[in-house]
Amino acid sequence: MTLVVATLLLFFAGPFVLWPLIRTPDEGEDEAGR
Amino acid sequence: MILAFLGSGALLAGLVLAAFSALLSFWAGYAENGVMIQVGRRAFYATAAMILVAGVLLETALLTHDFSLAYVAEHSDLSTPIALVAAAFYGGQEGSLLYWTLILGILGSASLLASARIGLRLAAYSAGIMAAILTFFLVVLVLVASPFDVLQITPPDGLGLNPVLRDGGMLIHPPVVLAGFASFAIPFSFAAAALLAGRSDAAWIAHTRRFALVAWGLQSAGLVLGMWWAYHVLGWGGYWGWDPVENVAFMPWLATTAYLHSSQVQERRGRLRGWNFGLVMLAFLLVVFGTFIVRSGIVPSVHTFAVSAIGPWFFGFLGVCLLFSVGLLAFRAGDLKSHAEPAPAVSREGAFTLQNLLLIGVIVVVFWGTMLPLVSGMLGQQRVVGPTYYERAAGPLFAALLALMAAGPLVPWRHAGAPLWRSLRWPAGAFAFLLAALLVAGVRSLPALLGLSLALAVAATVVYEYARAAGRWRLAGGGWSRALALVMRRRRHYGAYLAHLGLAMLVLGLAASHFWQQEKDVTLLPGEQVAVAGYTLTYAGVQNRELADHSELVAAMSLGGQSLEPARATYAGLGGQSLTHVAISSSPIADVYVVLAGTNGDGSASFRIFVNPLVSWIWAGGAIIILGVLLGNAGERRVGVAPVAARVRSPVGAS
Repeated sequence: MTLVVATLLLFFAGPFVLWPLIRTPDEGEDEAGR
Repeated sequence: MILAFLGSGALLAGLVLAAFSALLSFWAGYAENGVMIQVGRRAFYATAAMILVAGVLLETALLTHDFSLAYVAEHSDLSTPIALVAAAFYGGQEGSLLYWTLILGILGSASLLASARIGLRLAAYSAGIMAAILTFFLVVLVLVASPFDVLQITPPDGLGLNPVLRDGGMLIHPPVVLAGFASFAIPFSFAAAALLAGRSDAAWIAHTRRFALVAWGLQSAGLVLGMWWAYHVLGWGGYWGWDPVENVAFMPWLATTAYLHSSQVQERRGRLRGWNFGLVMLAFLLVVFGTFIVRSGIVPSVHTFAVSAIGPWFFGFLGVCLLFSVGLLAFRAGDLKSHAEPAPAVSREGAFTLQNLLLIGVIVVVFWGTMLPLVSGMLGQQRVVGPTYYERAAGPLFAALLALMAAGPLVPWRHAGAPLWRSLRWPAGAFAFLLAALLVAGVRSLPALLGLSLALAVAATVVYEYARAAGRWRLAGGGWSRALALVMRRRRHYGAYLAHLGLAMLVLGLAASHFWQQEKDVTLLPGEQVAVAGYTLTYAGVQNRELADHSELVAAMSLGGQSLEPARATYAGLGGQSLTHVAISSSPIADVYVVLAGTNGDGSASFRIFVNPLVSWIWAGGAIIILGVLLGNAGERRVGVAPVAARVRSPVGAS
């Protein structure tokens, strides 16, 4: 059960953490360092 | 039950994210890959969010009395007032570790957000080191000391919080002191990152100064609140017992005090570079050492948590941090040599250097006093030192530090000339005045004479500096807006002086209450009186009171028109554990402190009565120190940082 919860939370955190790799270069210019 | 799964799941997800953030940040920093540095940072923020989720879940479990969780059942019960149930979050081993990790996650995230443009490697390595520290704490929380462990059988009620912790002090002292401990990791991370990145200039100091000051301010507040709590709760008439747990909170404070002064020498004169790195690392190592001491139970103390399995983990962590710090300093030793010209002995930098050496001396005294039971125990016969050791060994060092506090702020940078000797008249005059007055009053104790007179000299220096500022303000034409502008322009300066003034008040309170405390043990029948140090108390009689979670035997006393109610509380739900409740009548001159020792069948009651001069000055001094920290921190100006364009090859994430 703990593993399932952890996996789900990691799944939901994914887009936030990986956003610098997802976005297009134009979108990212303002976000230096954040 | 569901809260337990959600909580442990959040901690596990946090652990994965923290380890990912640490590994990725180090690699991305090494490769100077801006995009991956950003991913590493975001993983750090996500880790902090997971810890926050775990924290909210634990607090929810406590407030909803979910006794299926072992932590909730062991540290709260149905009868405890709700505010104290909420405070049980940090009242036990596992919860306090989670609280610590949460503060590190939040402050670490704030420091990373504030450091978006400090250079790729420095940004990446600092995130990596903070994430590595978080990883360690999360490993402990997941594997060894989880606050979300589930009991096989859910009890109808919990065991409740330790009676000593059932006090208003529980709501403020532990969270502040634990936050102080956690915050030392931030300057450490940036210092180690600067060394890893080969950046030994003052940029890391300018960036972390605010966080070092936050750590110092929190620890100052934590220490004073701890003294206040001990004084109000423990009933021995004092506030500082040189207990190992007090000592391990005091040592990082001393190291950071040294750093806050010596860092100015690097900013102004480019000297003491290696020393500053060493001090910041020492402060953090002392925090880890202290945590190991407190949480392993290897040194006897009134504060220690129950002996648990986390001791070896913290010992290992201490070893890793020590090797990492010493190795890093040795690796970069060549870059840390100062090329600036040597400073003359009588100069501001000379005063700071001497102050640093004295503070290190105090740390050595306190460290060995704390370690002696352990070391002597290993050698055969356990020995414990008492307050006398600390007073004799550290007393002269404290006196020299006070003398430096009085003279140092008046000594100019680089060299001292005739104006110095003229300005020194003020602290010297204050010192001589109080010394003479005390001698005339019959005081012959050298520590009392020196402690009080030097504290007044420190205050005189601060007043002199503020008077000079007021003079400049009058010359400039006066007015509120100009006064505010003057203070804000040199807020670091005036904030520091305010902290000095607070410390002088605190020392006056410490010295007066230490040297002139009066104590009397009496047994009185109702209506009888006793006089202690000019205060007359009348015993009125005893009565029993039933409260929500305990009963109280109150022996009322009257002091002038005031009623004092010392009591003994008995907690039936905790196997009849009893605790004394002290009654204190406080004034700026002295506290009358009454402890109920016991009651007898004939209606008489036994009391221990203390009269403690100037104790309230300690608390007022602590509050002024915090005001000084707030003023010094308000709208920090960056010193010694090159323009962004010159430092950052490309903004983080622009590649």
